Formats: sequence, structure tokens, C-alpha cells
Amino acid sequence: MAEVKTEVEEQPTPDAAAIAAQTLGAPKSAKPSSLWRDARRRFVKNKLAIAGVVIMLIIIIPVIGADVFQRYDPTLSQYDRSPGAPKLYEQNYQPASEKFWFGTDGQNRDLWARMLHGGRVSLLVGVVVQAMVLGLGVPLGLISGFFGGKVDTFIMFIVNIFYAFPSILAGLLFLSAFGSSIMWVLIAVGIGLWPPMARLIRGQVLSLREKEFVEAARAIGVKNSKIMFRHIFPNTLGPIIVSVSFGVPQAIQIEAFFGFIGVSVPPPATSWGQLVNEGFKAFQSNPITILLIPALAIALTCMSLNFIGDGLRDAFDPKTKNK
Amino acid sequence: MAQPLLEVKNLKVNFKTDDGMVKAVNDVSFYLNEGETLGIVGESGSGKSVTSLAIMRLLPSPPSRIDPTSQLIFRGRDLLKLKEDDMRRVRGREIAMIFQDPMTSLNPVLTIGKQIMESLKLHLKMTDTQAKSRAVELLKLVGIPSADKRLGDYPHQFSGGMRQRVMIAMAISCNPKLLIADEPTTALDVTIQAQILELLKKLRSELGTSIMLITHDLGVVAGMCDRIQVMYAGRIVETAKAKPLYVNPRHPYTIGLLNSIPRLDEHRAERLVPIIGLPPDMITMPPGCSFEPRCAYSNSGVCQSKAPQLREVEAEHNSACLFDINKESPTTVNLVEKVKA
Amino acid sequence: MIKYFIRRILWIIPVFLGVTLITSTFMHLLPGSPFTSDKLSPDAQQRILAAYGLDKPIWEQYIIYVFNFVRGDWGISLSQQMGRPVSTIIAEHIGYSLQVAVIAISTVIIVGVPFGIIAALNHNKWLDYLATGVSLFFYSIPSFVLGILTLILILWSNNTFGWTTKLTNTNPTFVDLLIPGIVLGIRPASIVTRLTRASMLEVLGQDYIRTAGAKGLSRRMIITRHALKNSLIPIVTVLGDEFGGLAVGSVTIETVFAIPGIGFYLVSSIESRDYSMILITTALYAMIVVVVNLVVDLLYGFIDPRIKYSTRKVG
Repeated sequence: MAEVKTEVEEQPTPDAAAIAAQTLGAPKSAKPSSLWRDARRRFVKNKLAIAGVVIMLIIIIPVIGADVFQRYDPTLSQYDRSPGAPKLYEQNYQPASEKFWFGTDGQNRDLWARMLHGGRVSLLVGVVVQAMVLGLGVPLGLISGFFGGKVDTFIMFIVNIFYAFPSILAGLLFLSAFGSSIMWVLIAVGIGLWPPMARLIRGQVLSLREKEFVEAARAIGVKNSKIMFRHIFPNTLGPIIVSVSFGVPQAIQIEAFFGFIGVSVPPPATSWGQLVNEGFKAFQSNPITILLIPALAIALTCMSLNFIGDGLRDAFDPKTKNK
Repeated sequence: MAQPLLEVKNLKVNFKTDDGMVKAVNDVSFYLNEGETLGIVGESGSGKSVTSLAIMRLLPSPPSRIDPTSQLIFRGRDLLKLKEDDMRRVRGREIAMIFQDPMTSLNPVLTIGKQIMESLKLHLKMTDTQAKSRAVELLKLVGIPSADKRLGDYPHQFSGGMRQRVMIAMAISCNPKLLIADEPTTALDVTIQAQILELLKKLRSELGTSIMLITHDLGVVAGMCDRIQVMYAGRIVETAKAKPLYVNPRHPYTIGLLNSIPRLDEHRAERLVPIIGLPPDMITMPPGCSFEPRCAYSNSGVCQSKAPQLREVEAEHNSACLFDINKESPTTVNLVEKVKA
Repeated sequence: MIKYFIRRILWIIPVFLGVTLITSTFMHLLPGSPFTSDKLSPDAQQRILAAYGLDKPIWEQYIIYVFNFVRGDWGISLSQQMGRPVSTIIAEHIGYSLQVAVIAISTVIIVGVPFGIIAALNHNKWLDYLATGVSLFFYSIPSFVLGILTLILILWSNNTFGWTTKLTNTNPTFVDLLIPGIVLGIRPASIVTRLTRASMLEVLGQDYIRTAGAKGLSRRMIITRHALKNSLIPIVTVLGDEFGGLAVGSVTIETVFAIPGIGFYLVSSIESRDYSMILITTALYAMIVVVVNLVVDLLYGFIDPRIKYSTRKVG
């Protein structure tokens, strides 16, 4: 916030600013302790958040480099057809071994390779959906909050209808109607996540609009667009970052739910949620790893991301943690 | 001389922060006699509010820590040695407090009647009906119209000034010996400020309560206090009876304060002069006088190395300056340039 | 106040229309119909569609649908329970869903709120860290994953200790629904714990808490008389939001534990493209969310005297 205030002061003549600084007693030498610097300092001190970052790196690197880290093709059955080998169906659902680190699935495909490629889908959904949420929620929230009046009423009417609608059901409808391509999965997951973002931004703008520094900017004749982008928008960045950091694991969870219900990406592609689904159907008579591994992968990823989100929130808004 | 009602001896309060230890109150000693009104003046961060909260033992710990050598003798007992249960019987009953912001100091979800009756029932063991009629009495005393009808109202249904009256009614409900008023008028309009001060004066003469009035505004304490002490950076820098302090301030900071407020009773011969600069960083205090960097009378070399102690400069008039300064003393430095440097 | 009530209740209408419009639009975009089958001649298919009114224009179907909805005629299930009225099917199964939801919301209140308060009162002590850590842990696990892990645990303990905890039951009793209900409630409970803690800490830092201390109240009195009610205000909102979440979460939990509630049937209806069931179930879920939010808004007034209904904005 300190940054923005100095921006307001930059408008009058340099002389006036200097006098103001003197009478207000602004210390000259001290570096402005900026919001970002403080936030970074607090974040780095947060052990759980750093643990989350480390775990996420451990997960992300093999998932991104799936083609390098995989040992078999994730879509091909790995049957041993040599003479004397067990019958093909007996080779399915192998337990974890040197050869297949996580075992194999019902078509004797390597679970390690499928986990890597499924992770791609899961993580991709988390990130891309949040980008979509930002693209839709932030401008709508800004416009709604800043202009108010009829524009606000109209936008909030739409937002509230979407808000009242159980988003996951909306997603289910989308996926059943349009089939499960990755694009529709992204839309289905994102449909329920943008209204809260729009509402968050609108609320932020509404409260920021009344703040002294915005009134000051207005009083000295700063243009609307400039107030919006130089004074209001930068101040919503903290809450946006925090919201996105919690939104990514949320999106991953929703996609996992669709996968579990069986309406996510079409085979042979897969996601962690779908692997849970496959495991759930077969775990009672087969190695439990086929269910446990993808379930734990989802849990661990979401947990690490939430640790990071928690750290970010405390970093940007220390009030919430230490009174 | 009889023992004072409250004697604060060597009070030191530190706050632990991420950046280091903040010496919020740094070896402060003073007293307050029965029936006396003491004004404590200083800018924010000077330690005046911390002092008052320390007396009430309401400072959260951690991060705050009161030095074990400190003593707060109230009616012969050291408050710092009391058990928490005994201290609770002092709070509200013997020492009551009014806070700065009447908007936030009342619980928004309880009726004011409930909030006033609470102390009556707790300390005086009154029944509901007794407490209720006493609450009406108190509201009348502090000048709230149709008091009996307003007991069931919530704080947000009162104006700021009226809320401060409610706060005062709550504070005096158990006839405390000492009333600590921490910036009671700061959050109010000027006209309301005067009314609240009038009310405090009236209550003082009717109830004989001692008052500790904490403010950053020398104008507020002027007509109200018997004695005034000025605090700067966790220390008392000057203390005197009210009139001598105004007429003949002996500390550069007090002189600066008086020069920076407009006065209606004098011809305006000179421009108002602000005190330039900021109070010192309370973590790394300068070894010498803490006011030196902003002082127009400082003597380079001496003031930066030697910390001045409070000493008697006239009868019942103490100042913490190494030199005998008064309004007529010539300034030694150009402050604007000094601060720039 | 009455004006506010009315306006708030009227808000249900556009939401209902929006919700049914969206659902019915999507339903007609679904590829295929329940009668798409090689065994039926195109002519026979056409006749069946006509019998169910599915050959009419979509907008007409929609108007008829909304009209019937208001009369309580919710149409006929097109697949699994072929020919039975949707209202009957829902009436048969909604009981299980409601029981699970009640158990879940009780879990949220009984577990979530006290743990949040305990954490706040022990701020920065080990109990606080424990409560925050545990709640963040459970917050991060999707309900169905938790359900699956619970299921694995039950299986394992049945095998190991010779217990006979039932996994599924076509006619579950309240006791059978306890475990699924608690599992469903744990994640929202963890959210409420975190929120209660934050809200309590916020309230404990307020000036009026200091005022209460200055009056000589004990810590316990300060918390019960001054802090609790204030800190509950934001929690009521979240409870409303979470109830909506529970309604959806029940879909997964019912699937995992094979409870014959409406969530379970919704999933199979989507698989078999049972228009009436999907439309009604989604509309019903949406209605529940709207009504719960309304109740929450009205609850506000009892807790927070500052709320003036007429000045509040809808939504």
C-alpha cells in the first residue's frame, strides 16, 4: 500500500512533495519496506510452505518430464508373450516390482507411466483452469465493482445464478453433454470457480474505492482507467494470488472427482482421478496399490499446494495469523 | 505527605518483535495523588498508552514484558505482584479505564444495558433489578437522554459522543478510585470533545475520582489537569503543574509541542512551527538524548553521547534536558537542514 | 424487514428459472437418447419419443416442464426405474441423502467449531499447531479419497480383527450411514475449524475485548460472553456455503459407499441419460443451496443486531 500512496504524491510539484515529506517526517534513507518484500520474507520463513514447495517440485519434475521418466509406454499392455509365461490375464494387476515400480493395471499397463501421464492431466487442469478463472473473474469483478450501477447489477445477477448453481453438477452436465475432451474438462472444472473470483475482486474493489488514496487520486484529477490500473488493481493482487494458490488444488480435486465418476478425459488418456476410479473397481481382489497410489498422489499434491497457499496467505495478510 | 494513590517506580516495558526488542516504556517513574488529575501527553509511540495498559496489566504477554524490577504501588499494594484473580478485582472496581475509540470499544452484539450491568453484577454482586436501576442512574449521570429506554439499545444505535458517555458510565459504575482515560476525545468531533471533557470534570468533582488523562493534545489537558507530564520515546521528559508547564516549558520537546498548536489567547506573532522529523526507532535507541535528532537547541557532541536524566529545574518542575532551556533560549541549529542531512 | 424477506424469497424464482433453463438446455445437447437402440425401428423410436413429449420443440418442452414442476408433477423416469414418477423415486431416496447430510453437518458443528476455538485460545501453542495441521491435512483430501481410504481401513480391520462393519447396504439404517456422514463432514469441518480459529483470533484482538478485560472479567467470561457470539457471525455464512458443498459431496460419498441416495442415482442417471431425473436432481440441489443461503442470511439477523435487512444486497 505504501507504494501506491507515493504514487499519489508524485502528482503535485516536486517541491510540494518534498515539503510534505518533511512535515510528515518521512525518513529519507530508509528503503520502503514494500508489501512484496515483506511477503517474500514471511513466506520463506514458513516451514510448511517451503515443505510444500519441495514436495511439489518432486512431483512436478517427473510429471513434466513424463516422456523421459517413463519406463514403458503408458498406453500399451506389457504382456510377456514368451513361451512358458503365465496366461495373459494372469499377468494383469501385477504387484510393485523391480520391473513395474507401481505394479500394473487391469490391462497390464505400467502404473508408474500412467501415473506420470495422468499427473500431467491433473496438474494441467489445475493450472489452466485457474488461468481461465483469472481471465473471466478478474475483469468482470473489476468492471462490476468499479462502475457499479446497472453494469454491476447485471454482472452480479449472472454471477449469482452461477454461484447458486452447484458448480460440480454444472460440470457434470457439461461433460455428459459435450463428451469428455480435455477442453470440456477444463470448462467443466472452471465453470464453478470463476464466480467466487469475480465476487472476491468486486468486494476488494468496492472497499478499495472508498480508501483515502483512491479519493486522493480522484481529487487531483487522475483518470478513471488510471485509477483502476495503477491504484486499485495492484492492491487486489495479494488476494488474487492467495485465491489462485488455493484454487489450483481445488481444480485438481474437482477434476479428480470427475475422473472418479468416470467423465474426465477419454481413454487411453488418463488422470489421477480416473486411476482412482479404475483402482476402486478392482482393489478388493488385487494389490491395493492400484487404488492407494493415485489416491495418495491426489492427497499429497493438494496438501502441498494448500501448504503453499496457506503460506502465501499468511505472507500477504499477516493479520490473519498473528494478532 | 500522605502516600500517593498510585506510585509508578522504574516501569520498563519491552515488546518482542520480529525486528528486535522495542523499549516501549523505558524506566518511567511518577505518582498520582488521591483526587488529583494527571495529564500524560505525548505523540503516538511515546509509551503513554502502554504505561496505562501496564498499570491495568492488560498488555498481552508475549509479546510484551514488564521488567521485574518495576513497581506499581496502588494503595499500598504492588499491582505487579498480585495474583491474576486479585488483579481482576482491581480492574473495573478500583481502577477503571476509558479507551480511545468508542466505536470499537463497545461490544457490537450486546445491548449497552448488559454491558453496563456486567461490572455491577460482577464486582458489587448486584441482582438484575438492582443493576438495572443503577445502570439507568449511571446513564442519567453521564447525560444520556431517556436513559431507561436506551438500556436495550445496541452500540450502533448511538452516536460517537453518546457511546463515549456509555463507556464513561461503564467505567465509573463501581466508583473506582482511579479512572484512566486513554485519549478519550481523540476519535470525537471537537464540539463533542468539549462536552466529554466537561463531563469528566463534573464527575471528578462529584465522585472525587482521581483521573489519569492520556492524550497527544496539549489543548485537551490544559483546563483539566492539576499536573502534566510529557512523554517522549518511552521516557518522561518534563513534568510540572499545569500552568507552569504552559507558561514556562523547560524541555525543547514541550516547547516544540506548544509552538506547534494554535492559541487563541495570544496575538499570533509567529508562525506555527512544526516539530520536524520522526520519533526515534525504539529498537535501536540513540545512546544520548532521544530527542536530539529533532532538537533545535542541541549541542553537538554532548547531546548525542550523554542521556539526560529527569532533574528538578524549578520547584515541582522537572525536565530531562542537559541544559537549562526555556522559551527565550536561542536555537542552535537550523532544523530543516539538520533533518535533511 | 418483511420487504427484505419477500425480496430474498423472490430471488429463488430467477435462480430456479436459470437453473432449469441451463440444465434442460444441456440435457438436450446430450448425445443420444435413452431409446437410441439398434433393436428399435426408427418409427418405434419416434413413437416412444412422442409418448414422452420429447418430439416437441425444446422451448415447449421446457415450458411444460416448468409448469409441471410447480404443480409437483416432476415427470417420469426414462431409464433405470422406467415409467415410475421422478417424484416417487426422489421421495424414496432423498431420505438417505438427508440423513447423510445431517450427520455431516453435525460433524461440522460438533468437531469444527470447538477445535477452532481451542486452537485460537491456545494461539501459537502446540494445541494450536496440532489443530491447524490436522485441519489443513483433512482440508487437502477430497471427500471421495477420504471415503476410499476409510473403506480400505474398514476392509483391513474387518480382515484383521474379524469385525463385521458393513460396507454397503441396499437399505441402510441411520447407524449404517454414520461413517459415510462423518467422512463427508470432515473436510468442511476442517474448513470451519480454520475459519473459527481465524475469526476468534480476530475478535480476541478487538477493542471491546480489551474493554471487557478492563472491567475485570475473567478470561472465561470474556470468551463466553463477549468473544463467542461475535466470532460465530462469519462461521454461519460458511456453514451455509458448506451445506451446498455437502449436497454435492454427497454424490461422491454415496457412490463410494454405495448408499442409494439421490446423489448415487444422479450419477447413474447421467450415465443412462435419464433427462427427468437429471433435471430434477440438479434443480433440487440448486434449490437446496439457495434455500440454505436464505436461512443463513436470516440467521444473521439473530446473531448480529447491526444487520438491517432492507439495506443488504441480495446474494
